[in-house]
Amino acid sequence: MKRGKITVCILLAFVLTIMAPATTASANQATSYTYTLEIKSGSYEFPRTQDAYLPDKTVTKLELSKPTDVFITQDNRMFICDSGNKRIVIYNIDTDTVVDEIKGGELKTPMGVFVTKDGCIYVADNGAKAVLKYSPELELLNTFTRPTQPSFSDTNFDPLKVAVDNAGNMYVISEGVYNGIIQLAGTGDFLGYFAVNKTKLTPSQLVQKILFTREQLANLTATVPTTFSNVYVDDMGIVYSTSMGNADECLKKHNTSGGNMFMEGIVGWDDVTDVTTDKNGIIYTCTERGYIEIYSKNGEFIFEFGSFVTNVDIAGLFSSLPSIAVDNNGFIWGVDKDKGYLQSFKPTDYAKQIYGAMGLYEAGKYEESLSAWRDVLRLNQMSVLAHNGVGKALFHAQRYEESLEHFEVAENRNYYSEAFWEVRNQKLQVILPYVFALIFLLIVVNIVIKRVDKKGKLKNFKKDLTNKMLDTPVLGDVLFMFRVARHPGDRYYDIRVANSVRGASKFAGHGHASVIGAAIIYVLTFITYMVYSTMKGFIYQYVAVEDMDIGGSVAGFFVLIGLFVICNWLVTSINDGDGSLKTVFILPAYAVAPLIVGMLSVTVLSYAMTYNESFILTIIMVVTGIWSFVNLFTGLMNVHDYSFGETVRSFIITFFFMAVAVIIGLIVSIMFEQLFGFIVSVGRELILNVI
Amino acid sequence: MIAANTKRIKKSAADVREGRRSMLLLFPYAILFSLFILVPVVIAIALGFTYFDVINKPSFTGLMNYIYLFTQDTVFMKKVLPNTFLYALIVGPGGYAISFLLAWMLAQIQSIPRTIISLAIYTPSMVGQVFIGVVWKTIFSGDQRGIINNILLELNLIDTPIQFLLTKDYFMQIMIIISLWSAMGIGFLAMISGILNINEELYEAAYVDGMRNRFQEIIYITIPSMKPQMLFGAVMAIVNAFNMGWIGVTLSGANPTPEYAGQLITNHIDDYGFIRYEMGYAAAISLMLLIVVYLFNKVAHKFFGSKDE
Repeated sequence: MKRGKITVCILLAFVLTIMAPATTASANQATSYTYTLEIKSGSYEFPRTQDAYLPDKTVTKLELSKPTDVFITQDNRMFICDSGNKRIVIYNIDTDTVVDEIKGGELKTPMGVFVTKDGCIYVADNGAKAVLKYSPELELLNTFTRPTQPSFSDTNFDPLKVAVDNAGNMYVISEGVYNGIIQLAGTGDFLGYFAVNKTKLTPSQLVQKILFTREQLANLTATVPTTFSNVYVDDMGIVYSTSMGNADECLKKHNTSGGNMFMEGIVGWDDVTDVTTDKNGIIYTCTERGYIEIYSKNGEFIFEFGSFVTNVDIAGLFSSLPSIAVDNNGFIWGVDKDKGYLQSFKPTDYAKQIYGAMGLYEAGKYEESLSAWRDVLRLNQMSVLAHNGVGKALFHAQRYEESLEHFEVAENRNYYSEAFWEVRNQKLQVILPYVFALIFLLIVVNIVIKRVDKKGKLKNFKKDLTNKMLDTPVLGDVLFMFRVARHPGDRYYDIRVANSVRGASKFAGHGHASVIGAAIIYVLTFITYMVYSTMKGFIYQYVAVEDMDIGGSVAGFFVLIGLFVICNWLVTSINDGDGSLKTVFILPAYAVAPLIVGMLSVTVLSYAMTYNESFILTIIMVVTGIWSFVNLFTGLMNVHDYSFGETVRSFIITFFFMAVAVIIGLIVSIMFEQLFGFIVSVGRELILNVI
Repeated sequence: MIAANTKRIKKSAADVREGRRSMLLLFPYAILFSLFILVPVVIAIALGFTYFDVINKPSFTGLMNYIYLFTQDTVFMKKVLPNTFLYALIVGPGGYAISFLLAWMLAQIQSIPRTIISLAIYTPSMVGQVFIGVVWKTIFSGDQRGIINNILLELNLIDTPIQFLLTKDYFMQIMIIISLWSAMGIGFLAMISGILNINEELYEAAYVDGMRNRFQEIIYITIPSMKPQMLFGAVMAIVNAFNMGWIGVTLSGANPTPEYAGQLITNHIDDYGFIRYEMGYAAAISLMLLIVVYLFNKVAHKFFGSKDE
């Protein structure tokens, strides 16, 4: 008995050790990494994620030569535009056989192929300068050559790609046409240019355009808009286009008037060659270098995979990728232009789950999409896409509180703000009665105190207390900044009198400015600034603390103040300024009280505010900033006994001087670095050669 | 003792007669005041506690209107309240500061150009609505004939004309610009007269005492000497800032404004009072507006009010 058990155990262990590598091997078929998009602290990052597609079948038997376009119909027949062999190959994906081909005298250099729902085949033939239309039985029905309409004038008509919408209108991309996509009616009449890529002028070109005469402008090299590289029409009749040369315009989804529906811009590359969609509306694009990108219906970047290689035969990598298509089962088919073979990619469960969750969300089934997104999260805890999906599903299910954490992980600040508004509103409704009661109570208490305390004892007590605090040595020196903020003119005059007139005793009033006080205020300001820039609420904290250069801000802050003080003292002392170095050191510190209060209150408020009320924070910062600046300005004016104009001038000279000092400092430090390097290399030389 | 008492009685009888006489004199004003101001205000406050649709009798609902305002009315909490505060915070102090600066600058020049220029500056606040219809609507028109759109298109900065007055993106900013442009109203005129009334000798004396520049002139002489006018200007600015809702309606041609982008409290009151005929609720919002304006006026009094008030 016992023996038998042991044998079983050993056998089991043996089997397991054999099985284990087998499973990992099947998961490792991918020949390139899959990347997803993450927007972190405002910049795009492409972290690796699970493999979304695995290379599946490689079809080499078709003997293609320079294939330029592929199209897959709903019944899984693939039309391949085999331009090198001047033919259209029809290949059945399911049975892996060539069904048929179009090869005839009229086909010269076919570049693009498109098949409508009713089976008509359109071929853009660059050599024949025409669009050819074939019946489902592969008989030539029509040849659309250059439109004769006067409005088309003598524009080139060398079709590269063609697509046809549900009404039978053709969208033709022609070589050397910058006006846009040529739109032809079913009869071949020219309807107009569909979408137009605008020329984008650089600022210098803009200035030239405004200033130059017509002749001068004519002499400049013409700026041409980015050219369209492909056009596609999906089942719904929506036109998609891709452009080369400008990554911002790489993919467009057009409305009926030709406008771009991806208003918020798209993340992509500048060499996009083809676009296609599947039955769920997921958008696939490919780039010349062999990358395939997948976007959601609304143009959100889902992931991309692929790699750029030359002359390496690895399944799934292309040396030149002109076209892709998606079949019935969601497999992506790409064609290599140089090597002339087909390659298919099989979606992994990970990709399928993401598409499924997206579809559910689009259909408005939020509860179901929620669980689908949760499944994706189980596969990838850090998926921004999934966190966004879960968050949005929760948001639409009105479970705002739960959605917050997902939006936080996904760094989706706009949705976080919206959700937070709802959460806050719910809390507000609970608290509001108490707040009103409290306000009412305060009003009553205030009235009662006024009635009882007719002699103003309480007021006097408060005044005495502040005066006592102001008279305390160090604390009073710091608190004095608030008195400065209230009456900058008078207080700075006091500071000047106290520090410059010899033998002047204490002036009237409580508290006074001192060097220790100023130093403490500088440190306080710095601490406040660090709190302000690192500890704001999530939606206002754009840069994560770990991405910040703390050392830099420490050095920058104190160097800046030191520079200002020294430069201002130097500049003013040769310009009849009355201030000593001591007063110039004290002066800026006592100006910043409003800014300290402003930064602290904004930091606190940022936890309670949504984007809806962001203007309150802006106004606080602007007002306190201007207030502090006015303090500083009146301070300089009073301390140096300057007029308004003199103060402005001394300000400008000070800043100029600061800039010069920084530049000199940089040069000196670089020279010292060189010197240090020189000494080190001499030392090395000595060690190597002498010892 | 008795004599003193009778004297007092006699005196009080005279008082009563005197009182009656003044009451008689006061009567016409009291009647008119209560008829046209006091009673409507009291009725409005009372209506705030009812449901009233103009047709049926108002039914008492207690604090329901106020509870709804702060808990259910998301448009109010999400759009109207932030809009009103943003607008009032910029247009109130901003318009006030511009008014004062322009008044001060105008006070420095000769009488005839001053009269002409101040009339020109005052005009927008008088004929604002017409001006907005003619001038500003042309400037911000949403087709390519709109002046700004035309310039932007010409410079190739945009592809399609921007719908300035029909989308929420720019609406508030445009409203603020126009409001600042038309902020020089009665308060502005009062400030000019206030500045002109200041005794010149004050400045001379101050210069003898060591005053150095114009800035100090303003801070130490001009503003303290014209506190009543400053207060008046401030009150007018505050009332204006909370009352200019019609600008948004005129610009967009509709109440509510596009996506509630320019919806101020007064528009919200209009919306409920005269479009939905929920007078009770509108009255409740009006009372809230009254309280807010009152609080801001308190602040103005703190700055410019005289001490003995």
